[in-house]
Amino acid sequence: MDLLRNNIIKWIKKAGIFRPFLCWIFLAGSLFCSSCSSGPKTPIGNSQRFDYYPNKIDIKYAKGFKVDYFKSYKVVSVFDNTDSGSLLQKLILVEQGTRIPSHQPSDVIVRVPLTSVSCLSTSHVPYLKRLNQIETIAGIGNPDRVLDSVLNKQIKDGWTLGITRSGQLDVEKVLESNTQLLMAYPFDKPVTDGLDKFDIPVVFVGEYLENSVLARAEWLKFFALFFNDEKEARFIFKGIEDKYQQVKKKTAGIKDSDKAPVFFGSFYQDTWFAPGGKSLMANLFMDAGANYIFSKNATTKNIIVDNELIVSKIPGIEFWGQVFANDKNPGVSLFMGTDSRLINLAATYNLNFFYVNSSRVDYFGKANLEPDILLKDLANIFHPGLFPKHQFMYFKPLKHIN
Amino acid sequence: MKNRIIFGIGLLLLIVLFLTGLLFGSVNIRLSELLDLITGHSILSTNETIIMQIRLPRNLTAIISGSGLALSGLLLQTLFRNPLAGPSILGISSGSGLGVAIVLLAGGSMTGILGTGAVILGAVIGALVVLLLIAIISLKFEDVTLVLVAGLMLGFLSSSLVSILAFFSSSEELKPFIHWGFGSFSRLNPFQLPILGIALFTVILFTLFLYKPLNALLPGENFARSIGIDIKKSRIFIIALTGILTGIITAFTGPIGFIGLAVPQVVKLIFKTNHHRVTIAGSLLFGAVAALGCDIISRVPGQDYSLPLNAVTALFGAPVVLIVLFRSGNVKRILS
Repeated sequence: MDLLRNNIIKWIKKAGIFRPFLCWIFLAGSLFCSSCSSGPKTPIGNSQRFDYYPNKIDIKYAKGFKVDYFKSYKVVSVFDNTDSGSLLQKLILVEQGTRIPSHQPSDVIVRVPLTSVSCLSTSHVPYLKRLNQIETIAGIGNPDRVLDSVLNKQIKDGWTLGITRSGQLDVEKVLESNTQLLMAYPFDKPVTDGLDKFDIPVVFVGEYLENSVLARAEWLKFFALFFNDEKEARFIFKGIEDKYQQVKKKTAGIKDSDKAPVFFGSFYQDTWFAPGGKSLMANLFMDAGANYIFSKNATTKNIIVDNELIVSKIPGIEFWGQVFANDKNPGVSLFMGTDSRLINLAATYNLNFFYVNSSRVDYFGKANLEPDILLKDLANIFHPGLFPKHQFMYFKPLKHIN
Repeated sequence: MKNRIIFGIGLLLLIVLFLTGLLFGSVNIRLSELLDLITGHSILSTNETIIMQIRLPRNLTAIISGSGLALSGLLLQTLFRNPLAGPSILGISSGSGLGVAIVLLAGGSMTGILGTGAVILGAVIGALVVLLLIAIISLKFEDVTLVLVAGLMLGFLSSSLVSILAFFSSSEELKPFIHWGFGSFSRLNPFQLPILGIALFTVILFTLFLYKPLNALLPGENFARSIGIDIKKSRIFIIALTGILTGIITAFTGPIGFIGLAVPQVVKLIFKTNHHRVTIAGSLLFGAVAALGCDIISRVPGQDYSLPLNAVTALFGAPVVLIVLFRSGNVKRILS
């Protein structure tokens, strides 16, 4: 550039009478060039022209988030999709090296793609693993609950740090992990509020609030947004959806009269807690060809059911299920407590028990991305022989004791 | 002279605990790094952030809260002439708990978006409502024991309402409420710490005007009345001061039990006096020492786990109260 400028000056000097005119053109040209170069640098120029996100996601089932794409940033809205549908958070994911849009109001600004992330819940690990981003996990909450062998090795090697102490967020460890972002549940807000002052953005993940297993699996796309892995997430989710629909096609043929009445819930101090009639579990039972006894209930949340009501319903129940975390082999007492009246009734009416032991299988993590297996498990429990070659993975009938 | 030596030892203990609190935590920081930071040399930026923005505010919160709770306890014990009186006994802590429960549990689906600000507001309003009721009762009835029992009943009432709210809440909604109930000195942000400091400073300032009535109350209300002390006014004043101070501390740190109850006892025991010139200063100093000490113990230095702060204060506070009861030799008199 300097050589060119020197040559032009030499040439102007030789121009004689045209020298003033050429000087003016040269000066004007120089000023124009310098004004261009001192203005926005390439990324901003690019950010206006170049589309960083040619691969966009479409959301088919999940109601807890939505994304709007712009050329160099994405606006992600996270909703509380239980009852109110209110906006929980508005995130702006801005491409590294581009300007942060000033006209977009937001709660959190995140530079993408991320190179390190921390998760307060172990349920989010499988999502990152399916996106081949497990190495980016710099911090994890409750590391003793991690069931993934790769992440356990990272924790052992010190690559990933535990960021909770006795179940509570340990801010010192979060800082030590040098994480770019913390992923947490909305109900963690009171404990993550203190991270604001350290410029560590907190993003709320609400996959557990979805009311269908496919919607919960679709949150894979949400995680992908932070790594610009949309294309891969779309491909993986399509596979998950296809597999689920294939299983559902088979259970859809089950006649209403063959749909077994099922109860699912846990017992605590004389009261039962059961999923609402519009919850994820209720919908999963419906897809698996069962008739959930509280299907007419209109809530997605857990419902409290009096013991007497359950007792009155036992004669009409065929299957009885529960999730628990226990190292012991499950027995009837795990389902019905030590209430001998209930146990006797269960024996009288020949109830079939099924369970998930979450301390042995990753029901709250990996299962989120294997809805087809959950459905197959349940379909095979309710209609034995429907999938003869299927091995029970998460839900198991009581006779299948580990 | 003897009192000066005890104050000196207490001050030394406070400094040692303060430095220990800066040194120990989840992340290992060497003593040399801490000394470098104190002497103005630069250290690893993460470690500097941890010391300056996490451990230092926590230590200061512990000092202010411990001093405040101990001072409140002392004032209430003098007012009710009962060593079992403490900030939690008037139902103020339970009132705060109810306020927080309403914010966190009855908020329903809005729980997730409510932050620390709403929790603190809920706790302060809860404490003030109970305080207002106590003040009304205190104006209507002369008998201090009746006010004490009314406080206890209000506490039970608040707790039962909390239980009902908790019963109808999901485990996700319960989690932050249970964590609040454990108590912690690490929740305050740099804007909240001065509020706590100002609250304590204001109460200390007002306490200076209370010297005379407080000392006059020691032999009994009749004696105080005979020397011209306005009992009703003093009672309202003491209840309001302790209530506001306890309410603000509880809002920020969660309910911290036993410091307000046990520290004034220890102070009276080691200084062997009831005179408020000594006991107020002693409660402020040893309240801070007790809170800092319990906070360090609750973090279990060198381990990957921590204990709930409330459990640690009770673990050390309950035996102290028992010792005082046994030493007094006349439990009936204390409980009557």
